[in-house]
Amino acid sequence: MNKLLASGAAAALLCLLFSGAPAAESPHGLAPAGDMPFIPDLGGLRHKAFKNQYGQQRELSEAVLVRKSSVKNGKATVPAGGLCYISETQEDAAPFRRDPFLLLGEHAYLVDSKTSVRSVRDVSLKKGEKVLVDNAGYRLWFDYATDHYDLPYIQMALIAPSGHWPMEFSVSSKFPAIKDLPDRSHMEGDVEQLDEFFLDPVFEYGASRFEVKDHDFQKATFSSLSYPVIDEATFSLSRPVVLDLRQEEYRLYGTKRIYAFRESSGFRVSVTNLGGDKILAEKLLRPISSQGYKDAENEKDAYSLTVPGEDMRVEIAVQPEWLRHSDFMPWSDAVPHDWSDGMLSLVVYRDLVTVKNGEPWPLDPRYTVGLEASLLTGKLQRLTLENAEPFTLDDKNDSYDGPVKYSDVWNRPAFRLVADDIEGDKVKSYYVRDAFFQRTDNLSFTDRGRRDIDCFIGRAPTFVSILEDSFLTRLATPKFGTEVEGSHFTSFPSVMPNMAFHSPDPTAPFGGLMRGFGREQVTNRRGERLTSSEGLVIRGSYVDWKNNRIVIPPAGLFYTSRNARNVRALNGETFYMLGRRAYIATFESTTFTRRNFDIDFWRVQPDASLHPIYWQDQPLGVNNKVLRFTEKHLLDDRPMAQINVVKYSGNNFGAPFELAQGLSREQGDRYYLHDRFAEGATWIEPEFVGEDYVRVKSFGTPAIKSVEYTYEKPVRALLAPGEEKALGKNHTLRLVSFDEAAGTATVEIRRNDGSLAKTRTLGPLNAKTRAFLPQHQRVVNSLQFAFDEGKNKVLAEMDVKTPFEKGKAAFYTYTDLKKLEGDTPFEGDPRFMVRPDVCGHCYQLNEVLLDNPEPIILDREHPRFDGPRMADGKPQFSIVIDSFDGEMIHAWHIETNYRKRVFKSANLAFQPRNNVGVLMGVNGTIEGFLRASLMERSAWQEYWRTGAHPHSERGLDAWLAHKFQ
Amino acid sequence: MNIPYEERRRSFLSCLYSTQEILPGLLAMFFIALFSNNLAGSPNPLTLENLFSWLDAVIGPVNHQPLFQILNSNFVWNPFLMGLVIGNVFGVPDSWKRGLSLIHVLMPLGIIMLAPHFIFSHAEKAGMPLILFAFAVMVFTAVVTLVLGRALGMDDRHYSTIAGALSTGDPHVVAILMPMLKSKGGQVINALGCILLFGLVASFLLPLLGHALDMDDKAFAVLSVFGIGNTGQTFNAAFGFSYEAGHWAHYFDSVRNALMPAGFLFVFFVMFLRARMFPDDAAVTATRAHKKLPLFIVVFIIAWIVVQFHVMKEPARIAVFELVKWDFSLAAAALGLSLPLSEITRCGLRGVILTFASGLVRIAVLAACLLAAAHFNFPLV
Repeated sequence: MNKLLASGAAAALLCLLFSGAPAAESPHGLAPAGDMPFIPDLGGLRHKAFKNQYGQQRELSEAVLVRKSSVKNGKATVPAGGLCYISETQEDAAPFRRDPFLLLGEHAYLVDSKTSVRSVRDVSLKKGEKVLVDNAGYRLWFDYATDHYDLPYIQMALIAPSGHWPMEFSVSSKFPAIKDLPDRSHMEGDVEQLDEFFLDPVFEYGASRFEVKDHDFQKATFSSLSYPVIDEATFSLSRPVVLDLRQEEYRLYGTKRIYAFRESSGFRVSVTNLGGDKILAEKLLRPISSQGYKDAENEKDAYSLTVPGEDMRVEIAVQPEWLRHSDFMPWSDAVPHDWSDGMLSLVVYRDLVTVKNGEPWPLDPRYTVGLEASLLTGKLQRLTLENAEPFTLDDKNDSYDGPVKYSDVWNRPAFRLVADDIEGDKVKSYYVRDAFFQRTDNLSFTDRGRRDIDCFIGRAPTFVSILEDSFLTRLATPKFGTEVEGSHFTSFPSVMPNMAFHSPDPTAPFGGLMRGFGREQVTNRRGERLTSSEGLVIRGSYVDWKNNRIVIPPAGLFYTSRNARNVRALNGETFYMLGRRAYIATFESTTFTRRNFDIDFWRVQPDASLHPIYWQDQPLGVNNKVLRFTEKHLLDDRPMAQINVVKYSGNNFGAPFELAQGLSREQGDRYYLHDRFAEGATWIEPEFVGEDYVRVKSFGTPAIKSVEYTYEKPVRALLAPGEEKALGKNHTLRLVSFDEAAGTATVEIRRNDGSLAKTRTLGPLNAKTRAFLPQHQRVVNSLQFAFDEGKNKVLAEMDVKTPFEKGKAAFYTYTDLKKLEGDTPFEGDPRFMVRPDVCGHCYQLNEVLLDNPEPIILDREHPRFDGPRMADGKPQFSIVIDSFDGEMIHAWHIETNYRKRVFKSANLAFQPRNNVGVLMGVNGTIEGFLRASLMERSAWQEYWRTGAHPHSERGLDAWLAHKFQ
Repeated sequence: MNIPYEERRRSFLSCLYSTQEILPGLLAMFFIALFSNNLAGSPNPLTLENLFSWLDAVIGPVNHQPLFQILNSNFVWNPFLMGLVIGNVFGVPDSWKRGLSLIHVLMPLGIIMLAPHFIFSHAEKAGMPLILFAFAVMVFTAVVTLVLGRALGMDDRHYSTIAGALSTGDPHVVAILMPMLKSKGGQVINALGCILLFGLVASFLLPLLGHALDMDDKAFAVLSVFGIGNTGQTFNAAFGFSYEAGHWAHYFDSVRNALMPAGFLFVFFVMFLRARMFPDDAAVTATRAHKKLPLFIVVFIIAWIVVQFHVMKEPARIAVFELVKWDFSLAAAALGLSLPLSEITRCGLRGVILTFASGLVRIAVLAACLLAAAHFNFPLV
């Protein structure tokens, strides 16, 4: 046997040797090492907002990313595509808008682009995989699968080669599609649980379309993936020359004349030599205005004239009088419609550079250009430059130049990656130096060194997507202690009347895991392993320095307990309840519906606090959820609205509603979105989607009223007819009869004195009812027998996995049931209110929240507040103020009681704070808050590491900031 | 026509120079300040501060800290340096001198405006044992330095300036003590150089000592904050030891900051009382020019006491500190312009010897106390 193994191994080794090493996986779409260093600021990599011709703000940023590198035998190796420069706009860039874009530190304008739609067919993958779907490096990621009625639905993302993806999408071929949504506009108020569960097999997202053919929990096949790609982009590296247009006359541009002759549908623009006797180019041009469709491939040719052989592109722009000669505008919000009083101008772009997707960078063939489109709008969102060939750094050759940049002064490498101290399999020193010779700190932060030279330098938003797999670990296990960002102190107390539906202060310290806040893997009766965890959030607290006190407003402190997915009855699933494992018994849910109401677009109204005002929210019942219209786009001038369901905790429901009306691929539109939305049991049907508000015809979402649970582990009882089993201290459960074929069992509950208390037939448990398990409460209730005589509430339920065994019927019995009822005081500590939250897809318990209905006041005389009391009467946690001078909190901490010991957190005001906001513990709710503030938190981590103050405009940055204003 | 002052006098303001007289010097100070620091309200990006910041980024951090911060580039040092170079290379026209004399107004004014910067409650978080310990070390250092300075036969203005700056650990204190002790410009800058040199050497050697003594992060942070003091150099030492020590150094620095006025006022009052006790001793020169307790010191003390009651909130404090930066930038520019290099070197090397001797004694005492506290489990930190 050993010989056999040895010969097999030798054969495998030989095969490997003769076949060569396995090809390294392309780094496209993949994340760098989870613990890679992140440096938010390096002067040569810019991060700045500019405005385009229409005054719309464009957040631009640049970054350098190194991924899939390795260090071995004194050499650091970076594969082809492993070193990547990213220039990104948070919005998008399109022709005819004079959209700014950064090109290796230079402020450029996108003037033209060639776009197309790439379609890929029959892509199969397994759960967890990120498979390449094309040669450019796009990947499809199968992130997650869960179920409803035991049928799977899957969460996917299309990852661009840079690693960016805008959102995860849910699809399924197992459920009714959105088009099957019936008219529910008659519904209003609470209605009973609805049977249908919707999930579309096609995810439509503007310019993108993903259609799943078939899938289960572990693998999926997509019949087609369509997404926009950009084949070519032309940038202008200088501000354009703007000349007043004079019809039938010419304007001088350098050594050329530009004539404009009026015609019925535009101007015939003619570019001639200086004498006007030789026409270099001529074309009928239509003036550009703000209608979005004009940049479509079949339209855009009518709006520009490129002079062959000359560095010159001419457009005619309609510009307000006061706008001429400037590309900066006095307003900052979007300009939805064209203006009526404008001047016609000739706009001449020069210093043109055209780059092609997948082709070498014009100044440096070592780098390959990547152009990535917004999946929603199909317009340019990202430019990447990647090393075309792998390279190695070692003692002799310790640096690799980045791509050569265009410069007014000196075309030179935009940055340089240096690894100047490699010992064996570790790099002890490496850094990035920019075009202005500025360098980062040693990216190997400790003397231990690193096994790779991965890093992310700069503030491109791709950082957030690329860290999806590792961000929680990065934030929850900081290498340099509990990070506390000092507060910005204001000249007025930042008063919050109520914090329901608000997220916490993005600068609130994150304490991570702490003893006393449970987090563990639990297994249900079906053998499914789920993470169950609890935590604490304090939000909206403030120092009321006029009264020398700290105030936590109502709903400002909440305890949260949540599992990796919803908590289901009939499965023996558990959740944490104040440090103890609780077993869910049953639940009571409804469908909350509304009709005929308006949602205004939410605009941030700055009030100098870190908590925006959400006065446009539409409430969904009392203390349940709200609707918030958070984002809007114009897709060829058709308004598209993104509406979110915001939970009581301040987190968003996972699936935003993307709505637009009147779009149709059949009629040739470039974009398509559903004109209604339904996912799971939540739906929204708009009457009208406008730019500033949406009128909703019909809306519904699940709401949970109460759950019942017990701390006692349910016991399985196998009973033959006539047999009985103790059910708590005062009762017994007796099986009267059962019918295995029908799936029914008749049971009775008797008191200890033998008197009959109640009889009930459970079931039927057959194929028809199983089709609604485990989510449907009507079916769940039909399998459960609850009994309450005021002493000790008990419950018996059929074992849905193996209901009948060896001629007996199987039951699970629950004793000492407790109830969590929404908007009522918590039984164990009436100072706190119960706010159970429901899964937005189904009707199950998603989260248990306990929060304060009254403000909590802390001051020098009352420096301690105890959180909700556990079963043993001790508070699960306490807030302790150690040093407070009336204006600043200099020291405070959280204490927990765990296994008869007291644990203390680090000082959560290590730097002075003006609130006691905190995130403690790790669960889905806290994860949502962290993800939303990931960039800021990660940047702060870096400042914290070196003890630096947040980056201010100093040095070269100050100079650049002024130069390019 | 030269009209006697008594005839010109209409009010107490008559003693001031006219605007016309001070304008050239004031403009010189103003432009030096403007091109030295990024001052509030000034959009000028071409400043020495920005140049140093860029050089910091080019050179790369030392122990994760900017090099010029370790070298004490700040709002006092930058304009002083620029003024010193301009004054010594190009000379100072007589027409500037009356304007430059505004330093005698700007210095006391700056000191008064500094009062809100020293708030005791910011230090409370470190605990009373450490605060008392820090205070004791500060007084001890001041006394040792004064005694040693006298033993070395130095000018009392010089050694008392060193005593104030070394005990508080902040080189800026030389500027604060200048109008208090009536030190000469050369003495002040010599003292400043001595403190910076000591801090620079100590900041690189202290981590070696800390590792040799197997100190923990917190204790080493205390050693670097109270053994060196100067912020940039303290952080250089602490981060050179470990990240954690660096973070604790930030934490404990507030204690040193809050106690700072006590340190320089202690030195001032010692020297002031000494001058009163020995009015005829020619060797006693520090504070001699003050016939009585200077008004600006009284105002400073009152302001310092008042701000402890939080009458000035943090945004106001920050705004006032921006004014302090303007004030000291102008004053330091004037000081640099009016100071020949020879005046600095005239003080000789005795200042260096004094600073290193006192500084080393302080570090030894501090280290011994911290090790003893650790050994006896005394909750010092």
